[in-house]
Amino acid sequence: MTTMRRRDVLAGGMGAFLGSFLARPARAETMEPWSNVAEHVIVLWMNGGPSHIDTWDPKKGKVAGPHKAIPTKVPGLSISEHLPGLAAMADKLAVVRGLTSKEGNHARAQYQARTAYAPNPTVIHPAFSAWLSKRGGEPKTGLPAVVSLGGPSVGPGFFGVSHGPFVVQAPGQMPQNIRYGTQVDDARFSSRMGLLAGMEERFSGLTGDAKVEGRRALYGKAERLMHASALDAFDLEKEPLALRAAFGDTPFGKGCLTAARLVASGVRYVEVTLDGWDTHQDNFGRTKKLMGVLDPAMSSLLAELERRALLQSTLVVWMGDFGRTPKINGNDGRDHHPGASTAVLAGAGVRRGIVHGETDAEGARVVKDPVRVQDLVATMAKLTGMNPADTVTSPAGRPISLANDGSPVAALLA
Amino acid sequence: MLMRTRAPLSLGLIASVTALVACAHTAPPVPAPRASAPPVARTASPFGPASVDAALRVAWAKEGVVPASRADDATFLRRVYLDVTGTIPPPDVAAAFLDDRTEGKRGKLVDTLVASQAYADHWATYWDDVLMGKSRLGQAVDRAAFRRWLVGRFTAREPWDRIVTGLVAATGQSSTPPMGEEAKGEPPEDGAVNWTLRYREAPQDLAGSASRVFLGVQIQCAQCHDHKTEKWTQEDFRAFASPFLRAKFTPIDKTKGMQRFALGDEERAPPRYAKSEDLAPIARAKPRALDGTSLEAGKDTRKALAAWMTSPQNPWFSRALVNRMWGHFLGRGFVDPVDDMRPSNPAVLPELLDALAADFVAHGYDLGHLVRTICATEAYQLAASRDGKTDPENKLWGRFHLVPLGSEELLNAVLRATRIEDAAARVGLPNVEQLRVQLERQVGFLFDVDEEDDTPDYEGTVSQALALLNGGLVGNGARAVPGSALADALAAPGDDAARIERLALQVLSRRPTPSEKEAWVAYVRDPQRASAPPPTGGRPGNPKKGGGGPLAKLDRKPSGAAEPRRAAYEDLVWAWLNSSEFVFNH
Repeated sequence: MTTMRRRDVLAGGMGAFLGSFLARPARAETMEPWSNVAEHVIVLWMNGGPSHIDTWDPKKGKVAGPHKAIPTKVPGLSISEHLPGLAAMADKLAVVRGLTSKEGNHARAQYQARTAYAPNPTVIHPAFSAWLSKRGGEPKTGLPAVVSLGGPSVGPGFFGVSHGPFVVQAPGQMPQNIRYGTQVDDARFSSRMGLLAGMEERFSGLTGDAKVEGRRALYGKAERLMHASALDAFDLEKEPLALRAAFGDTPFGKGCLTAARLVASGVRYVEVTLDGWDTHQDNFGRTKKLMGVLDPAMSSLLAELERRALLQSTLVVWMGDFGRTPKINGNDGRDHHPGASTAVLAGAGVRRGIVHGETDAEGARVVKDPVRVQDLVATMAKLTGMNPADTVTSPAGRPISLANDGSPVAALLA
Repeated sequence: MLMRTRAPLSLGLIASVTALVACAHTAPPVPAPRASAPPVARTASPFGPASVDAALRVAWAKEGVVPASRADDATFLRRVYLDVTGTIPPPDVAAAFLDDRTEGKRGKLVDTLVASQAYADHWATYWDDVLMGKSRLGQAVDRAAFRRWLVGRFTAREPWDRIVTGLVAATGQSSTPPMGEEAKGEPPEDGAVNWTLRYREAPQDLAGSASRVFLGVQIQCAQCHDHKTEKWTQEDFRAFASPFLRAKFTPIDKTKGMQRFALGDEERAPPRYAKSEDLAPIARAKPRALDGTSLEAGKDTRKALAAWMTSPQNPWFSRALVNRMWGHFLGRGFVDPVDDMRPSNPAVLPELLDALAADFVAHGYDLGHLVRTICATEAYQLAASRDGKTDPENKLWGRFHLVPLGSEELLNAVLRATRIEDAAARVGLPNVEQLRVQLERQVGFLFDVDEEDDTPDYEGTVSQALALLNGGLVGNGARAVPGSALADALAAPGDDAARIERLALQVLSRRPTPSEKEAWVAYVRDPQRASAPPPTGGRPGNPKKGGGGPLAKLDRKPSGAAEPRRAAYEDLVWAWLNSSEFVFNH
């Protein structure tokens, strides 16, 4: 993509942003009653493009690989044998088998999945997460509205960096630079901040510029985060060993457990990345391994959210770049296939135990109830109480809508 | 002049700039462009910084703007170093400049900087960022070769039209093979090829980028539909993009994971594009420039496009560059964002933009000349203070716009202020170049700022603030480890006042004011009493040892911080590095 990063001309700037800090999350006029609205979203991002045929949409015949299909708790729904934990809780899931798009390039597809728009060099669209941050406001706990665990995610575009993801590269560890540096303690840090305050006071007086005040406010926010008690949400040591073991001792497993803890601390959007799905080679060995990571983590996440009574207020979405070809290539791999893929939804407002859409016998084409990527984004918007048609003006003066031209999929709503 | 469609300015600044009328009346006869902008007139009479000042004075008077006071020498020095070379001045240069009492020292300084290698390196970095961005671009794009090419162009002080021609019509191979493996008859390396190569899967985006960056025209909006407010149609976009579909990539070989390509041209767009929904209509379109000029020239179509783009008759080319450069130096372009010039987003003081563009053309697209002109203007030398009276958004540059340092500038500034590289070398961090690359990656990821667009508010992330507050670069940079600027200052003879002055020149590129000197001397003598810090929540204690990262080895190096005075000096440097004064170009 280009280097353009535009801010939202309609944004009220730092003042409005800080104003919303304390306010109860603002809702669009068209909002649903709270009971049916997801206050939080956890996206499990399958980076690289997960093979739908080898996970949620198993096929028979020459396109099938060695993975067998197993029945699930939902009559008529079979999924890969390497997802036994999820098969046992399929009655909580909505499996979307007819997801479809035209973008077969990683960067373009990843962008579209998060923003509902194909990339266009003249505007950087805000991701769904940025809309949630902008329309939903910041958590009162001092934690960021949007957190990405283990991946960069897609940014806030012209909404401005304050709506971008707070990135934690290594889930299970505290965020980078959240602790004092070498040979610094409370007393020394305060002493330094005192010196800095004097310098800022002088410079602010000299320039009288809003940018200096904005920067001071940002430092205040960073300092609050450093000292926030909710920061413990990043610390998995607080959880019993048995629970951590159930999620799996993997970055993704740790990310899923952290996601549950972050949501409990008010974070609005958490993305957890599981990388490695670009299986042009050794598709079956690799997807088996990846499902070995995915199954315990995702099923434990759903169970843990339910145990904490958070599943009713949290939307969980499993998705990735695109699906993969029915044809198995010469390297025992599968290639990019945007025409048909799978997404899985669960949690707040989602109809439970259903399969929506259908692909043909080979998994090549959607033959029933296609759901475009922007329809999925529209559905997520609807579920979080936002208006999918909510429209802002880009810096270049073009109208940009939350879900592009997507419409919520009624069949997925409880 | 030719007719220009121009929407009313929000400030009502339809300037009648008498000083400039004389310069802008001899437009050569050119075919009338179908779109908005007239060609840039050739300059006849002497044009210079004084003409710019006169034009701005008229505009200021008209709009009730009272310009801020003139920036002091230290501020000007730091500003011009950052804008022209991408880093802060060395402390000895700062001291000498401040003590220099000769007339015209500012102009001399600019001349020296424009002639320096740092100038070439900085502008190579700038354009590398604009054209390639910060993300990794896969195994075909040789970023190093591209950068080498840019450094070569700016080192040779090539004029802008030649540089752009080199990019738009690049041919040759993308990367040099490992030593001695170059096959006979291979075309030579042309690093510029990598820009086209970057877009090989989406040549329509290359067209959009070329138009946006070099012409300031966002033709790409018309890719999906006819532009609602502007004149561009989908057909215009397709015709303009069509030359780029003739670029022909021939794979050469794959070495060390890098796929090398040779770039040449085809007679027409290859059949494979017919399969793509997006590209097929572009492949069918007849190559045509934005003003309707046919570009059909067989294998030379990209060359024809480059020639049209860089022609003195082209109404957009010189304006786009001048506007971009003015935006870089003054914090806001005549048109903002700098790459979105269209009738519904009109320039403030369009006549002044035109006159600067005409002067740029008249001087053979010499970038150095343009830089010298801008730096000599009154507007560029104003303080970033509110002691005058500006229009609400400061669109007329009545005071200097604060601009946060970009990642490259910030890293350069911290390294120069602290000399942490020297300290790292002392503890045996093997390769300073490698260290720099690692730091660039970290800082670049965190401080990726938008230069092309003026924002009234500070755009920063919590992660950035945390990196400066607690991260290794500033944390270690502020420590008095052997080899660092701070350790040297502490070891030098003289009293605390002299030491603080020396360090302020090193970090802030200025001498402290008397009251600052008093406060800071008091602090290093007795930090407890001198500062009455607000109580903090007191949680994040026990720093995890080291924390990793490229500077981890320095973390374990004792700095003697147990000694209170040394620790107090470290606090002072830390606070300076975290200050807005340091983090902004002001």
